[in-house]
This record gives sequence, structure tokens and C-alpha cells, in this order.
Amino acid sequence: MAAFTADVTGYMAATVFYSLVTALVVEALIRIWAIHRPSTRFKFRLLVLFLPLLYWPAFLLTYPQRQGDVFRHGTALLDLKQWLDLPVAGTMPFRYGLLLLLASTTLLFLAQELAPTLRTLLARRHRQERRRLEKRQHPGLHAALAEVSQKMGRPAPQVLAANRQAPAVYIAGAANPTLVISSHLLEALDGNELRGVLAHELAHLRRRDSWWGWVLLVIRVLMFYNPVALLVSRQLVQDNEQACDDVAVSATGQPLAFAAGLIKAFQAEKPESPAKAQGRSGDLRSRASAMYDHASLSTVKRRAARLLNPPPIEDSPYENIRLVVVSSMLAVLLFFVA
Amino acid sequence: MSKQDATGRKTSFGKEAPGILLPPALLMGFAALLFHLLNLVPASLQPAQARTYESIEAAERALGVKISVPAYFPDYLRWPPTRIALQRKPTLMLSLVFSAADGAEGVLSIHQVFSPAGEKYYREAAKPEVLLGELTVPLDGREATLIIGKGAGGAPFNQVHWRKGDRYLIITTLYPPEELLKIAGSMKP
Repeated sequence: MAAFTADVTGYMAATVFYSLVTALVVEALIRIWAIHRPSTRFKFRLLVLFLPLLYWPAFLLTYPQRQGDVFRHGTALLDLKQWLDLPVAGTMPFRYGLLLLLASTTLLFLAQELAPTLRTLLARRHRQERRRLEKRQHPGLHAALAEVSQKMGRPAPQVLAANRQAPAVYIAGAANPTLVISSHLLEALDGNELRGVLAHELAHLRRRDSWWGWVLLVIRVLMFYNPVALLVSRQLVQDNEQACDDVAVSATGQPLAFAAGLIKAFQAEKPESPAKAQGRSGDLRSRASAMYDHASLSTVKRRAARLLNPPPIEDSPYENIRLVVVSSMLAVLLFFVA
Repeated sequence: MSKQDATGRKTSFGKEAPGILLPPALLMGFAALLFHLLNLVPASLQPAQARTYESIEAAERALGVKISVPAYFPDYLRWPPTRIALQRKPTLMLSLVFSAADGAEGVLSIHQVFSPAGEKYYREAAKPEVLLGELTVPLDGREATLIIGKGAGGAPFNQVHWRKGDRYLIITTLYPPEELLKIAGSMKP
């Protein structure tokens, strides 16, 4: 049992360390190569989630001796086990510190990611909360959707209305995607803002983000303990949103309207009470919720600011070759970290 | 191979290659150096105590390699080894200590050093008190050094050491050199 626990801790330590090294290398290269395009950043950051999952079993299968003391002591550049087992004042602070970090990340993942995802999935199962939105019910929406779809060169999806008090718009379903939009949002947005928001959602469709969402969810479940994966998966979501923002702006040519629509949609969904915003409303849960809302609002504001002051989109060429080069070099480097 | 970048300029791979290869290569080199330095810290702080194992299999699992054991194992020795110990400092070395069938302890020891630098250390540390002779003998298609001498209290000290694959083997025994060489010649793998 003790050996099994040590093996599991060793595996977790190795994958977290691989993620950390990959993240640092990728972030450095994103800056050195001046990669501004969100879709390219997304591909590079995906390496942080994929490589540790792929490399650890690949190394183990191709060279099982790598787990032994002979490799660790003689060949490895860095033996993580030495650090985990390092005794300081009669205890092993690095091992216990790591376990504490993994446990905190797991709790955070369960509370902030898995539970809301499951709740959403279960809620979406109850189809009665949505109804088909006919053309005659909202001709403006269908006209805007037809216009944006034509500009983006793809058929308009089926539209369902969400029976929610809060404004909402999202693409539901991966195999047979539909656009779900709440009447509250339709009331809140003017024509140009609506076109921007619809173009953004159609961009998600074009990028097959529903499928990517499932892939990322599976990886996140497999790496539930990994704090680096937790942070990077949030960055990936932002990269994805920004990539769709760019598509929406290029399709509509109305960055200001889209930015306004984005902020309106968020603020209408999360009405900010002064007490909540300042986190003074007493219990821990409301303080945490206020902090989370504040962080989300900052993200939306950053997205809006980026739309109004777009960064240069000149990207370095040979993007896929760069990805292969970085992955291969990381494979060689991480092989020697046991 | 050529491509157009976002501004419409034509770029060739040959021209872009240094910019593609150098930054990641430099980053990896820096990381490798950092890892090497990080590895020195716990190695210098770890206490130099040996870890013992219940069985050859358990030691093999920890080492990640097969342990060499003699295929020729005379009746006057007792199997399994009475002590299986792995030390990391000053060099990674596995020690197998055998007793005689009559109960006499430490009549044969087999040391396996898994570091090119470590063999020198061990050979200097495990010398007879009185050296009677040192000769080069053929062993398993290689040259081995046979040492004949006397150990503590005038007890026989016969030792053979040679490199075999990824490790350096040192076998020390009270038994005569002929028996020692037969045991050494049968070491597998």
C-alpha cells in the first residue's frame, strides 16, 4: 500500500512538473515568437495539457528502467523522487507540500469545474427549459442570424429559446448543435450587438468548440489534481473566446458594437450589487462569489478592450513545424526528468 | 519550401529555421542546466544510509535493472543472500552478502557499482590489509583483476573486479581464488 501511494505520488509529481516545464517553455516561446493570434496560442497551450498525459506513459512503455534508481541516479538530469523524499527536521516537507497542493487543486476542480459542468449537463437534459424559436416570433433574430451565417459561409443552426430570467446565449450539443438564446438577451441587445454576439457563437460552431470542450473536459478530469493544468485550461478558454471574438469582428466589421454587446450580456447576467462587489456581505460563500464575478467581469472587460485595440496579428509562419519542434525537444528534455 | 506570412511577404523555411530552432533549443539547454543544479541539492543533503531489501526481486524493482547473480552457487553457500543493501552515496552500489551453509557470516560478498566514477572509489575502499598478489585474468571475455591477500585478523581475502555491461562487479570471498573465479565467471546477466 505504501509503495502504491509512493508510486501514485511520484506519477502526480512528475506530470505536474512536466506541465509546469511545458507551460514555462510555451509561455516563453509565445513571447519570443510574438504569437498574438489566439487560435495559435490555443494550440501551443494545449501542449501543457496533452504532453504530460502522453509522455509519462510513453516513457514508461518504451523504457521501463527509467523508474529505477539506476536511471534516476546515473542518467536522469533531475530525480524528483530525491526532492520528495528529502528529509528536513525529521519530516518530508516537499512530499507533504505537494500532497497539500494536489488536494487543494482537486477540491477547486470539483467545486469550480466539475460540479458546475455536471449541473449544466443535467439541466440541459431537461429539454422543457427550451422551446423552438420560430421565425415569426422573433424575425429580427432570424434575419440577423441569416445575415451573419451568409457572411461566415455556413448554414444557420436551429434556434431554441432558453426560458431563463438571465440573459444567455450558447451553442448546445456537439453532434447536432443548436443556438440557444434567452429572450432577456434579445431584449438587451440592439441589432449590431446581436449580430456580433451571433457571429461569436457561429465562430464556436466553425471551430468545433463543442467537441473541443469534451476533449478538454476529459483531460481535465484525468488531470484533476494538476494546478498547472487548472490554470492553463482557463487560459485556453480565454484563447478560445478571443479567437471567436476575432472571427465575429471580421465577419461583422463592428468591434465596438460587439464589445458593447459582450459587456451588456455579462452585466445583465451578473447584476453587481455594491455590497457583493466589495465582498462585504458576510459569509464566505458570497465573498467568494463576489471575487469570482469580479474576476469574470475583468476578463470580459479585457476582451472588450482587446476588440477595441486589437494587437498585431502577424504571426510567425510554420506554426505546425514550431509545434512539432517544441514537442520533440520537450520529449527529449522531460525524458531525463524522472 | 516557402510560405507567405500574414503581411504577404514570402518566407523560406531555410531563412526561418534558425528562428524556429534556436529559441526552443536555448530554453531547453537552460532548463537542462537548471535541472542538473537542482539535482545536486537533495543529493548533497540526503543522509548516506543504505536501504535494505527483503528479496532480490524487491531490489530489482527499486533499481529498475536486473541484478547479477552467480549461476554457479556451491553447496557450502546459503541462498538467498543474508543482506541485500542499496547505497546511494558516495556512489550507487548494491551489495549482496552471503553466509556459509554452516552459518558463518559474510563469507562472500558481491558488489555491483552502477556508476563509472564509483568503481574507483570502491576499489580503493575495499583493499586487503596485506596484498599478496595482483594479476590480470580473463573473465567472461574481458580482463578482470584478481587480488589475493589477507584481510582483518589474517583471514583470506580474495577479490576479483571487472566491468560487465552497465556495472562494475566486485566479488570478495574467503574461499580460494579458483572457486572465486568459477563464481565470477558464472555471473548472470
